[in-house]
Amino acid sequence: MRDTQTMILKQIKDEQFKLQKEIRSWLGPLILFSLIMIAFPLSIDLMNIGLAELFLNIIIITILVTNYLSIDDVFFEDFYDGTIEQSLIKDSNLYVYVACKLMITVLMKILPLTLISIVFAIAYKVNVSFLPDLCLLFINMQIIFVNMLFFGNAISINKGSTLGLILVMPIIFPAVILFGQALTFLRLEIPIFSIHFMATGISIIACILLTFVTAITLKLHLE
Amino acid sequence: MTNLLDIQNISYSINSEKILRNVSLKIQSNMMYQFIGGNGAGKTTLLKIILEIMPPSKGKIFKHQSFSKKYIGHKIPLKNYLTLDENLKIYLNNFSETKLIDTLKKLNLYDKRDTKFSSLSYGQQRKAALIPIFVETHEMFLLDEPFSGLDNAHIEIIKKEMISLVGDGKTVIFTSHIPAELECETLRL
Amino acid sequence: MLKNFINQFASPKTYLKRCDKYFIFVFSAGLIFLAVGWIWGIFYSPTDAEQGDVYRIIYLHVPTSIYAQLIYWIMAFWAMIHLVWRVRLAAYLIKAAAYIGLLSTFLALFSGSIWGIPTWGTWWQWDARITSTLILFLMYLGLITLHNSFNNFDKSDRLMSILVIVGTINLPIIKKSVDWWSTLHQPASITLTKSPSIDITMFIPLMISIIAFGFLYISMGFLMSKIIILTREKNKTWIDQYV
Repeated sequence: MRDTQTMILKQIKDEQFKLQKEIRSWLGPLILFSLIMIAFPLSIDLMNIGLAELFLNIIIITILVTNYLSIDDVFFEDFYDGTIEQSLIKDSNLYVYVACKLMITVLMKILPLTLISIVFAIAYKVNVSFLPDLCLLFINMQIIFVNMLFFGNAISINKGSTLGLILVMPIIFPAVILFGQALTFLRLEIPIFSIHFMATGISIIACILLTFVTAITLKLHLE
Repeated sequence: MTNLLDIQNISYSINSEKILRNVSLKIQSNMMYQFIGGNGAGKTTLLKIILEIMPPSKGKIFKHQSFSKKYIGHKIPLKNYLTLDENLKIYLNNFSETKLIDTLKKLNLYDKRDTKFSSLSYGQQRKAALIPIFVETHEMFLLDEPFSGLDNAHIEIIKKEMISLVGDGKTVIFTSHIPAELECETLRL
Repeated sequence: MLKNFINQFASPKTYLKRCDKYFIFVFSAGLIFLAVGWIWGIFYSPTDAEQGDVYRIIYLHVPTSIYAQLIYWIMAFWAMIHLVWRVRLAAYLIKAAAYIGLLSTFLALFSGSIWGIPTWGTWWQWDARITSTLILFLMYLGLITLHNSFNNFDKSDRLMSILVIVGTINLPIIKKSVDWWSTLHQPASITLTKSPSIDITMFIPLMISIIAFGFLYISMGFLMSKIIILTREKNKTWIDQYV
């Protein structure tokens, strides 16, 4: 038990260290997101649409695209250089490997992106009372997106991440619809506690189930 | 010598194309095994079946006891954007620092510790990938073409280490296109 | 015991023989039911008070919509059989069903668009049910694309099965979408627990059409799965005897 704990902690530390060193992998998407959010107001007629309205209209898809780009090659390098193979031989399954990758992605990609989104929400003059709801929505939304994108990446690992995105986008759309509805309710100042509960539940289930499914899919590719 | 594995009539095929046909072998401790065959003969496939990465299409592998194993394949699981030292800290498990330093000196990699891995030559990268056989402790080492990319001097170093491992009661299984001059049981595929 | 029960149905050779034996009956039944259902529905059912004769497209739209979703559930069942018991025939049937599901979804969207123009003045609306059906269409397309992009068929069968099972989370959303969002789409006319909201003289030919499409899709399934089996098993010795 202690050995397993040490092993898991080592794996988390290793993943965190690798991601920290691969600066373009975590910083690139944040910069890209920022550029998109800066560019958007320049492309529209601000007299006819308010900044806050624009933010709520574009934020979900911008975050989705940023998530896709930020985990575009999450398993690719590890698959081709044999790291995943080594993990499988060491642990006889890939659950720990995928779970550690997910945890580090949440800490080093999702949370910073959420923070920057909130900064832009303020810059776009979104009602300050919305910010806590937005923060929670963005975290849940990204956890669901990232889990699906991990699965998409895993399923098409040797065919490129675009195929994976095409395969899982239909499954991501309902989440997009749900969070779009949440933002509509927010705009209309309708409480969204039930959506928060549902989204939190879905993200927990997604983390558990999709980690399992992604691990099985990666193992299948190694066979 | 202890029995570790019984490989019984293993066959493997993809899309009805047979890669391995009825391979049987008993694997014991204190022994070295060599799988020889040309390209596509199924050497790597057999290693992966032994490692339980892939299931055989037919036959089975009977495990007499559980044991730890280390696989060093064609691929080099070290990251180009990290230095050699940073890579080894992630790649290696349960190793002694002094043993690692001795190994790096033996393999002429000591001065390259702070070099970006992508800046090393292919031969140096291969040597780095083989470091676990010097510093890690496992009951079985499975090496897929361990000598590829190495010069003669380093091939001899690796061979010596493999012999030493067998002398310590470990099992070494390696694959090769041509017979290596080592005292081992050979399986032709 | 369960594995033995499944294995007796799992042989592609036995399945092909059954296909050949039952195809003509199933296909004929489908044609007969379709003829009865459509002739009754198009020529003899009364005109709708609100929509006039345009509503008669339901004899195409409703069966295709129902089967678009039902086929996915059936694929999910076979995907479980394939993954748990490694039955190759189940993978072949999933592939065959994917093509039929794709066709059915396309027909549902197409007929829905035609119905929308005279009734609601629009051929497309981003409402929940229509959008969810489009998503289902993309899912079928994705499955077929995934399977066709791998050279290793055993691996692609299993990946497809995994994707089918993961995709089933979308199905309850499609089913419940009319309840969750207030939209342009009319509420479901037929539910399992309540009596239907359409007249009985329209309802009976509709049910006959639904049964007809069931038979036709099964016969299409026989044909598709036969093609897939003959392609995939072409190196086996029993194929020469069969052909």
